[in-house]
Amino acid sequence: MRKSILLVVKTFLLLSLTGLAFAQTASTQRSPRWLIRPGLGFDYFSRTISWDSNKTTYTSKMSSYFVTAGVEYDAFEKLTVAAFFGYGSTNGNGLVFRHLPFSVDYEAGGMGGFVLGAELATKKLLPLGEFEINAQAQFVYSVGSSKTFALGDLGVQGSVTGKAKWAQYVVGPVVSYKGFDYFHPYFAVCFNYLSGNFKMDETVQDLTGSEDKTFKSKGYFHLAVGATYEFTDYFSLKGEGRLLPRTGGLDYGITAKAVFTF
Amino acid sequence: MGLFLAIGLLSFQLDRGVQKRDEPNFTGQHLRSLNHGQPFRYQGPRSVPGQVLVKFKPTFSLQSIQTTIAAYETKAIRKIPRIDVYQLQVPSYYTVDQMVAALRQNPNVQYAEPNYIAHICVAPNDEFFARQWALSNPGNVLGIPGSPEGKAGADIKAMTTWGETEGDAGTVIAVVDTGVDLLHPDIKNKIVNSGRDFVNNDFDATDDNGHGTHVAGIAAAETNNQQGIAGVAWNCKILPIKVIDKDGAGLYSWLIDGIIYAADNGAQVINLSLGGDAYSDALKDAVSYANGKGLIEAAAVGNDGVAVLYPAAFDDYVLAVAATDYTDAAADFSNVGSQVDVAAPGVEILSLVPTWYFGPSSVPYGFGSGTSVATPHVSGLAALIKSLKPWLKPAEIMNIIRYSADDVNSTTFPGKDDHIGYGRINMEKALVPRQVTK
Repeated sequence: MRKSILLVVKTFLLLSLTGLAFAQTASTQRSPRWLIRPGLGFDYFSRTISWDSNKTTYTSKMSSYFVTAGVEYDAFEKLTVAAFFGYGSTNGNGLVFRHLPFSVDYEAGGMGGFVLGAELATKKLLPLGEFEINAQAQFVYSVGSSKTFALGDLGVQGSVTGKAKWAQYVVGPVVSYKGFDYFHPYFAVCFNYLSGNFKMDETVQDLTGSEDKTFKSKGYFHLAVGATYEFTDYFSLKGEGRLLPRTGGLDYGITAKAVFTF
Repeated sequence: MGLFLAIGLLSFQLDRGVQKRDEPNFTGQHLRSLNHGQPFRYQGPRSVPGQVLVKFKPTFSLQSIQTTIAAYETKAIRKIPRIDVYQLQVPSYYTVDQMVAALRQNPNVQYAEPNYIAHICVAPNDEFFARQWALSNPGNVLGIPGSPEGKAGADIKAMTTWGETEGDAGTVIAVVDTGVDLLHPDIKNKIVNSGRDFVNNDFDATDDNGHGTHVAGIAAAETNNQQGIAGVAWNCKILPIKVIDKDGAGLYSWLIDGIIYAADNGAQVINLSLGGDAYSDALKDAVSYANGKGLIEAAAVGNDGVAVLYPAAFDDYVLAVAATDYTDAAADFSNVGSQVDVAAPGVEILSLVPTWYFGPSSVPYGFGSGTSVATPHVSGLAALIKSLKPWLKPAEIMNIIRYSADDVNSTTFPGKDDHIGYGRINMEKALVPRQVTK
C-alpha cells in the first residue's frame, strides 16, 4: 500500500510539473464553450470495510475500479452538475459469511457491476485572490452482477451465488488555485462514506441458506490533491489522488477524467 | 520410546495453535479397558416379560381407554407423557405376544408392542496409555492397545476446528445412557445437574456401569484443564440421564422417558450410544417429539455386523453413526444398512471411566471400542454447530454433518453406502469457513 500511495503522489507531482510548464506558455484567450461537456473517467479505490459476524466486528479490504462515461452541465452560473454511468469490478475478498449452513470465506476476487453517479460542484463560490473556495458533492452507486461459485470438497454438489452493491457519498469544500491560466491545482477535505451489502446464497443439495452482509467504510473523510489541466479549448484532463485516514492506517483512491468541450 | 514419540508428536501438534493439551497423569499407572477387554454383547431377553406398550387413537376418550384396559384384563402401570403411550401389565396367563396381537385387532388402538429392552453398544478393549487419535491422527505407531500404525489424517479434524469454535456453555448434550460419574475430575465441572435416573426413579444419574461416563467424556470432557482428555465440544455441558442399568440393559420405556426428559429439560443434543433390534412405534414417537422440539439426536448403529439398531434406524429424526478405525476403515463390528448416516472413530478410544472402575488409586481413564464411542464424536460436533449457529434446525444440522463427511471408502463404495453412510465426519468442513475462489 505504501508503494501505491507513493505512486499516486509521484503521478500527481508529474502532472503538476507538466501542467506548470504548459501553463507558462499557453495562450490566455479561449473560445466560448457549450454548457454540456461529455467525458470519460476512471476511478479506483481501496478501502477498509467493517462488518459483523456472530456478534463480532471484523474488517477486510474492499477495492473497486470502474470506467464511466458522463456529462457535465453548467446548470447555473455558479453550479455544475454531472451524471455518469459505467462498468467496473469490485473485489470483496476477505468477507466471511457465517450465517450460511456452510460458512464461506469469499476469496474469488473481483465481480463485475454497473456504476452510476452524480456530482454537484460550485464555481467561483468564494474567490480569495488567486484562490477559490468551492463546494462539491458526489454520489456513486454500484450494482454488481450475480456470480456463482462451486462449493467444492463436500460429499455432495454445492454452490454459492454472490452479488454486491455499494454506495459512496462525498461532500466537502475544495480550495483551488487560479493563478495559472490552464492549470488548476486544488486541495479538498471531504466527508467520504462508503456502505453496501454483499448477498450470498448457498445451495448444497436440499440445504439452502442466504446471508445479506452489510458493510461500511472504516474511514469517514478523505484528503484529496488534484489538478485540472486544459490542454486545448476542447479537451481537459483531471487527476486526483485521495488518502483516507482510518483507525490503524490509510486507505487511498485515484481518479482520472477526460472532459471534451464543444 | 513409542510413548516419548507420541508425546513429541502431541507437542508438535500443540505448536499449531492449541494452547494446552490434556495429558493423562500416568505416572507409571497402566490404562485399562472396560469390561475386562472383552467385546460387549448383550445376551438377555428381548423384551420385558409381562409388559406391553399401547397407544390409543386420539379420538378415543379417556373413559373408553380405561374401560378397554380393564376389558383386556391388563393393568395400567403408567402413562408416558407427551406421546400418550400406556405401559400395561399383562396377566400371567397371557404371553406378551398374545396380548400384543389382541390389542392390534382393536380398531381404537394406534399401535401396540412389547416393552423391548435396549442395550449399550461398546466393544471395549484394554491396556496402555493411549492418545486421542480420533481428534488428530499423526499416523505412525499409535500409543493405544496393540500399538497399531495409524494413517495420518484419519481423524475428525478437531484441532483445526477449535480455532473457529470451542462450543458454547449454554449448549447442553444429554447423554442418555448408564449415567455419568458426577464427581469425575475431568467432567464434574461440565455437568449441568445430577440429572435423572429412570432405572431407579430418582434424580441422581450416577453411573454404576462405566459406559455412560466414557461416552460423556468423548463428547464434552473438561478441556484445556491440564488433565485428562479433550472433549469434542470443549465448552458444552452434559445432562446425564440414566436409562440403562448396571448390567448394561434398559427398558424401552426408560429410554423413551429419557429422550422426552432431555427434550423437556434444556438439552439441544441427545447422545444415544445404545439401541435395540426391535422396532417400536413408541420409541419413534419419542425421537420424533425430541426432533420437533429442535433437538439433534445421534445414535449408535450397533456392534454385531447386522442391521442398524433402533433408534438409530429412525432415519428422519436420528443420525445413525457407524464406526471407523485409525486407518479410516469401517470397523468390522459396525452394523450396516441404508440408515447409516455417517461414521466416526470407534476403535480404541480413550475416555473417562468412573473413579471406582479399576479400583482404588487407579487412573480413571480407559479405552473403549464400538459404535457407542463413535456416536459422542458426532454429538459433540452437533453441539459445536448448534453453538455457532443456533438458528439452524435439526434437519439442517444433520445435513451439514452428512454432507461435510469424508467419503473415506470411496474407492470401494463411492458415495453414500451402507457401511459408513456419507463418510467419516469432518469437523473442519462442517464448521470452518470454506474458501470460495475463482
